[in-house]
Amino acid sequence: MGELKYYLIRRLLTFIPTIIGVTLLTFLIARVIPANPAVLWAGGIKAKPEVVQLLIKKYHLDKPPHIQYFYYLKDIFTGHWGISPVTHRPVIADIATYFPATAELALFSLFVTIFIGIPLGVISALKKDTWIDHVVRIIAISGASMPVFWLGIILQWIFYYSLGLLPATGRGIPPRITYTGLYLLDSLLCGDFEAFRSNLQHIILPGFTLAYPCIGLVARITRSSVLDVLSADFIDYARIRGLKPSFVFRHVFRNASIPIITILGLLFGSLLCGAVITETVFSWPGLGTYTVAAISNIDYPAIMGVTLIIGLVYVTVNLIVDILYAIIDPRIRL
Amino acid sequence: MSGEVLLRVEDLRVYFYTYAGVVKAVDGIDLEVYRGESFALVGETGCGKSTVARAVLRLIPPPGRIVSGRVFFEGRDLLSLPEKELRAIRGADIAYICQDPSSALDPLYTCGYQISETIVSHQGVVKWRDAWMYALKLLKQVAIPEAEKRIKNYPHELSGGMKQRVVISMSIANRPKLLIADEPTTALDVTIQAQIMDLIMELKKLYNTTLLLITHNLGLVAEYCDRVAVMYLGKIVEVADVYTLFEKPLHPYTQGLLKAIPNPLKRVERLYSIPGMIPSPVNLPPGCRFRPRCQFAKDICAREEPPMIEVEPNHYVACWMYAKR
Repeated sequence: MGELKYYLIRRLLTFIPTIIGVTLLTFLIARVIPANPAVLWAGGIKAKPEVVQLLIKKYHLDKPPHIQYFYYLKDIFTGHWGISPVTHRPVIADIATYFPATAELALFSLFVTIFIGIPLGVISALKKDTWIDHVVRIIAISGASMPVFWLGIILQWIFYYSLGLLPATGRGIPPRITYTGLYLLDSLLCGDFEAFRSNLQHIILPGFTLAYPCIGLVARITRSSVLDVLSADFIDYARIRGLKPSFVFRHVFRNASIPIITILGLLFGSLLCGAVITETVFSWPGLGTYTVAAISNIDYPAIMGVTLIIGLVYVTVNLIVDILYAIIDPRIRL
Repeated sequence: MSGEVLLRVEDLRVYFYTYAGVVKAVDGIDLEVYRGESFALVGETGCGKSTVARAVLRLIPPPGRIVSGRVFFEGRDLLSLPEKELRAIRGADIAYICQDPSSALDPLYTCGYQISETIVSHQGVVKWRDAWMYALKLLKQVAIPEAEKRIKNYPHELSGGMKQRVVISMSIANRPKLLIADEPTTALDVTIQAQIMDLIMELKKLYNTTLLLITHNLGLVAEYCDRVAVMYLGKIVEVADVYTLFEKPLHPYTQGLLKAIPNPLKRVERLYSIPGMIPSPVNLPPGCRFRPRCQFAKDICAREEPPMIEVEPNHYVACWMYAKR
């Protein structure tokens, strides 16, 4: 187990420069915007020059970029991530309001993807070239080719308008107490089952819409990696040894899981970003709407804040993926 | 040497249905292996000797199929047993040592786990802890140094010879009655081949099992086996005890094989090789399969397949030269 420990320490240490890189990139991306934001923030071309001057001073726009970066880092470490010139609130407070909704949606979609995609993939590998396999293939192709907003609208039409089974928009009743901002989790934690039911009903349609393209992808990756492992000599030898079928399956699944985990890690990132469109269709009060507004207002403390938080989540997810790799495969620990 | 028959293969045919055509990998084989002996199945690569072993366990990978035949093990026909009963026999009564130990072990599990699961799979009530202790005992038995440490190692941390020792310890874990060793030394360094073979023979004696050795190495056969069957292109061409076969080989193919062994004490200009090429198993020549390469071929060889003839007691050969006509 010593190897695993050293691997974890090494991997955690590389986390630090990655984070610094994330902040640097975030900063650079925001500075690429060519317009003069101070004028816009002050209210357009007709704005009073002294207000513009004040804003330039307040946001250090007259300073050279490296000084600006320094102020940016200071804002991050002092905790408010800058004040949005549009909402006049600390960016961190805005993110704290909107991010949990997006995170909840992305996590829910991730679980849907895992619990539908992986079993579908395993079944289609075991029943290769049968009708089940073809159905999974169709799901994958349609998921890749169907626009998310279209699927969202169709689902709303079927389940809300025609059948009246599920609500079309919003997050539902907020739970009595919020700890994390993830409504599903909070309502369970404080035992508010009425809210839980409402939240669950509200998240099903957007969650499934967001997950649909991923389900097919994960199913296809699972299928091919399970097939790969099934043809490996050690599976053959496991059968020759007369292992119980459940033991054989353990070998298959563990060996097949590395590509699956890789793709899940990448997908979680795209779920977070891809939530923007889904959130718009379902009026989900998440980061998506906030981000779009921030971009059109060139509200760059907010843009940088959103970019940074998504970057941080992405890097953290990758860290988790790498740790899982090392737990699964002893050869990676070296 | 004749005693109780442990394994009897009757008219076994295994065909592979490929796009290029039907490959008759094993085409009508009869074999008898007696309890306690060391039986060798020799032949060159691709002659179907491994397929015979796999067919005994009924584990032929698609597109292969066992077309006909019966395999009796202790009187039970393995080919008609339900899958569940057969699973109980695989790895327990009939164990298998494979050619390449590196690909036979799952890289993600420790050796100890993989030996233990073999034990737990077959001895239902055994606790994992006990299985682990037994695995340790087995590793010591196959002479792995520092077994206490090695048992927690992953396959990539072991050398080829050690991995083969682990595979061997798995194969004897459930005290098999029949041990099939499919080219057990081919993937190993020459220097440890003898060690591994000696180990297998020692364990064979210790556990009182029967050995079916599949090899192309006639040196191993001469050294370790009691009886030999020579295979050529899916058919058995000669069966004899090892002394008879090496002293008085009857089939032209066997004679060619023995002539092709280099003799370190005699300097020769050119090492003998059997003329011609192995014909494609998809388009087999009619009559005797060895005819295109045989210097004694007669008219009848091209027309009819030679029957198995008992030339002298327990010495069988499939060649028209020995037919009494």
